[in-house]
Amino acid sequence: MYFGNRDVLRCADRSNELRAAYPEAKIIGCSGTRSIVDNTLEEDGIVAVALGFARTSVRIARAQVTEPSQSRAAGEEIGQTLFAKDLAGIFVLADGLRVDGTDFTAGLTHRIGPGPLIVGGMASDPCDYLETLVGADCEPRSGMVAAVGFYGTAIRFTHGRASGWDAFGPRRHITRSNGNVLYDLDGKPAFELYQRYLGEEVSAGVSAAVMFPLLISPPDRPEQTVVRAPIGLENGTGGMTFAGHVPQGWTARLMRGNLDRLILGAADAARQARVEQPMSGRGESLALMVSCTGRHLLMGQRTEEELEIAGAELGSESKRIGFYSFGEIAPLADSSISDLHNQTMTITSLVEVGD
Amino acid sequence: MHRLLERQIVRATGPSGELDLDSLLRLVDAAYVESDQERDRTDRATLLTCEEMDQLNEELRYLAHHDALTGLPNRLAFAQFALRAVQRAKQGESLAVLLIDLDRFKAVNDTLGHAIGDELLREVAARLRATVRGGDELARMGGDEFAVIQFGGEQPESTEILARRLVQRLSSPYSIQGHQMNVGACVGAALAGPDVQDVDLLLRDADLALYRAKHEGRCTWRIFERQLTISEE
Repeated sequence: MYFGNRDVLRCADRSNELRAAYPEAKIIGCSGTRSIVDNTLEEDGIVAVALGFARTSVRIARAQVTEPSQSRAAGEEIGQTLFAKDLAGIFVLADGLRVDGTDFTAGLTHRIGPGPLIVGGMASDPCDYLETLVGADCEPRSGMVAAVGFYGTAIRFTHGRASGWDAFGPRRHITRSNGNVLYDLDGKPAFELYQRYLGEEVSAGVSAAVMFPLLISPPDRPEQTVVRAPIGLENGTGGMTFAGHVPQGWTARLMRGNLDRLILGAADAARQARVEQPMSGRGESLALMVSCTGRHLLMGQRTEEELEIAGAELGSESKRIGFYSFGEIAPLADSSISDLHNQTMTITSLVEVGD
Repeated sequence: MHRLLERQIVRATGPSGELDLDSLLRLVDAAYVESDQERDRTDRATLLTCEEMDQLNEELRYLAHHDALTGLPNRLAFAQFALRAVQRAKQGESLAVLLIDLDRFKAVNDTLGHAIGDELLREVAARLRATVRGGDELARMGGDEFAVIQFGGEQPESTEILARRLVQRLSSPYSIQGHQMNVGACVGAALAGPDVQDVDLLLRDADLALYRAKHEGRCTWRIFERQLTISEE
């Protein structure tokens, strides 16, 4: 597995070098705003980890998407390819700009069902929002969705997810939206609301807007909240693009981040992943960390603090790798069904237990 | 903060182990900018949220005290008007409460539908606004019932004039969405002076007068007199 700077990943030599080093391996990876390796944040390079299993088999699936409307079908295709009785879990990566992450995840979970854990994230870029790359036994490319399935009874997944963002202000109603494009809140253009809250920062565009994600929930299930971060301001039609669906009729509240609360959120995610780990017969574990680009934009130079605190919770026997994403795929709260999230830190711990 | 500085020093240290002071200062400056931006963002969000919540409170207060269909003050608002009016009456100001009930409104609703009925109520409210003086209070009590608190003037002459005018204005023909209709109104009034006891009694007297007016026929007005109580009881 690898994660890296998009512009560096464009160079075919990097893929060839990796393949040459591991000719028999299944190789999957994507571009990220930043990459994570242990406590370090990598901006310009590539980070990679090689996994070897004694009693676990892996399989890779990939699909190409040319427009967002194909996302659900791509998810179903991946699910169809990877599904098996002994499927334990799936780590999935998808183009963060050309793939509709909500539809893709829905297609995938529809095929896989409630048993195996489905986690992963949406590839990202250096916040120019132009192109993201995913690779699966091929050079990383745009429009790609890919997943690796882990099979057998020896592999154990544990998972944690936390946000640390706080909802504030009045509850608003999503009165006009289409998929992941939000037009109106309470009958007024959503962009106008963001313009007011961003103030002078509006000139910084979407990088500033992600500081105010939305906490949305269906009207009949207010506890089933999902965070949605803007990834595109005024798109010419008056709509704002979010990293996930913002369904019409749902309730929305603005959120804001506090650095200390975000950092504690990462610790919480790590704690959840650690608590569920099997206590006996385990070998080395790998923590796959997918954290939202919006968190990095808010935390700035303090971003590594969330890696440090999560690492301290996970313990020294856990190797850590991951990336900052345009959306995190993980189970909903109190559910085994995965969905797309924003502004969260998700940590998935993999460990292969002995006999 | 020292952890941040440690990381900045690591970043500003080259492969040879030499600290690049300019790089370090740039990182420190950037960290201050990030911190200032976060504080400004928080301050702005707090201020805007307070403004929004204040505005929402105002809207809620308005909705709680007004009738959504006609925009007139509602029964709750009228109760507050009446309490204040009784206080003014006790201090010597003359006033009257007039209750207004439309005739044949139910027939309009039943035969032409609620949309026409709603439009009729809006037209009635407009005529009431045009009839009642600026200093007086006007409210929709619910359904086809309205109320006015009239302040000042010689009593009972002022109230008689207003009651007669209300009946006349509301009984003029209406033209709504191509439908011509005649809907009358009855008015019952109660006068209040310094000896007024409480709001409930005043409203009860006005209600009795309205009952008598409706009993006597459409497009009628009556002012409460003591013998009304006796005869109704």
